[in-house]
Amino acid sequence: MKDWTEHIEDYLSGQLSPQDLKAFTKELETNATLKQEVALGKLLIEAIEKTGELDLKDYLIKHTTTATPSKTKYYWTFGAAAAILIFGIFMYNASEEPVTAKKEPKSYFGFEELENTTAEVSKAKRKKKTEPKIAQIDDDDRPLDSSNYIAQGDELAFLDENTAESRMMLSSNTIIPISIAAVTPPPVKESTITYDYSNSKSRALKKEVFSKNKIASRKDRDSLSAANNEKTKEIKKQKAQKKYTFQVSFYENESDTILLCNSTSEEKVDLEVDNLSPENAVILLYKNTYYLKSGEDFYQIYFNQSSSIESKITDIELIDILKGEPE
Amino acid sequence: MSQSNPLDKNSLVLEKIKAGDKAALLDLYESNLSMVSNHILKNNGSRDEAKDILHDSLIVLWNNIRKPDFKLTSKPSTYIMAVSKNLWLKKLSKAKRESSKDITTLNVSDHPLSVHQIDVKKAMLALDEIGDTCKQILSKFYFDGFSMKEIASQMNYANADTAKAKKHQCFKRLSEIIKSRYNLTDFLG
Repeated sequence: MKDWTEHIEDYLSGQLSPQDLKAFTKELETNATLKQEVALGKLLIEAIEKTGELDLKDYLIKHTTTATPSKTKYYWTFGAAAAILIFGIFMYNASEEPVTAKKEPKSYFGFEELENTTAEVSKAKRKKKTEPKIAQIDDDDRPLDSSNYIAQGDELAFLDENTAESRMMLSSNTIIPISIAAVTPPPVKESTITYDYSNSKSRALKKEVFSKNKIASRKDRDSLSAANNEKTKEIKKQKAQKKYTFQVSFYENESDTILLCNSTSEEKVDLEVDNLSPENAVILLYKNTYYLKSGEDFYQIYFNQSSSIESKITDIELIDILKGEPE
Repeated sequence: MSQSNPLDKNSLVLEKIKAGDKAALLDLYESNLSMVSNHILKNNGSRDEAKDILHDSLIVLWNNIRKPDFKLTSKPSTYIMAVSKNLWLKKLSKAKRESSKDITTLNVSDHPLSVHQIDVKKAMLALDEIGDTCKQILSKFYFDGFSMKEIASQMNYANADTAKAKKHQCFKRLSEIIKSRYNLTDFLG
């Protein structure tokens, strides 16, 4: 008796001679084992074909779509580039921007871009001191901040459109906490939050971060603010065209969490902090400088500069101010 | 007919594909992407879905062109467009069917792989264990549809018979792996 199992392949690929085919078909009717082997053979061919299709598809995908690098890799490149690119610029900027803790009783949440530290500012400050009503608005806002950080006094500062220096700054003596807690960190070790510091809208956006359903009351408050202060209104109008989007992302490498900021004005931040928990991190703004609060520690955030643990604030006086504790 | 004649160009591409030249598919991809994308974007699809459909259409062309009884009567682009439209329609109606299914009537076997598909998957895994040469020779024969003579020359075997013996050996090895792992009666359901 012929071993038909040796001929299964030929049978399945139609290569049996007519006589053999006839005999094979006849055998198949009675031979259960052969039937089973044929079924297995069909399955194997299907698997081979399927594998071939998948391989071909892989080939097509590989050769027709431009590969996009993984996000993490992108950030690393980004961070490295920022670090290399801008260290020099930072050195330059840092030297002309000493952080001095100077408290003033006036309160105003001025999310205005301030582009200089020159005489114009002091001029503006002097002007503003005659408008005490703004303090009420500040009180109004307090519950939204969901933390101990309360705006310390500040005056409205002008944005000098003509200044050559293009650093993005907010009003000088305000401590503005921006809680990141509202952003649920995604499972993929990376979270992003966008802050919009486009002047009059910045506060609104901050509120949106906290709670979206407060938008309505924010609008009310904003109009109240404008009504209360003609000057503010004017300046807000002036600045409305200039928009900054400020994006903060966290991503983790093996041991550290890195804060990465970039804004439309191309400032970048790459801050490395041990055990930073994005859930509890708060970004503070005080005297034109950003600070990151993580646990009990504060770190200065430098734009256009990769910084790490060295940027931790050690000045007790400054820490107290940032903590919002009375002097 | 001159070389630049489009008809000639088309048949040249088809000849290349028949001969197993995968790069010829890339040319067809380039020349048909905008047409297929237009159609799919107009019909609730995305650019990525268009690319995916075009890939699948090219695979259909690859498979069919090597069937002995297949004769392409139209231009490749017309064929690719027709297949893409069909595939997209299938995908859309499948999505519609799935979304209209009542959750209570959902059957476990509706969604995940069927028993047969699982069997195929197992066989595919076994295929990875028989070695690259074996995998290649089986793929060339069963997927690419090359003759034993062609395979012999591509893979440096003395002649078609040697190649055939090798192929047979590989096929046997593959089925032995399956038999050693599964009870055939259960396996083939």
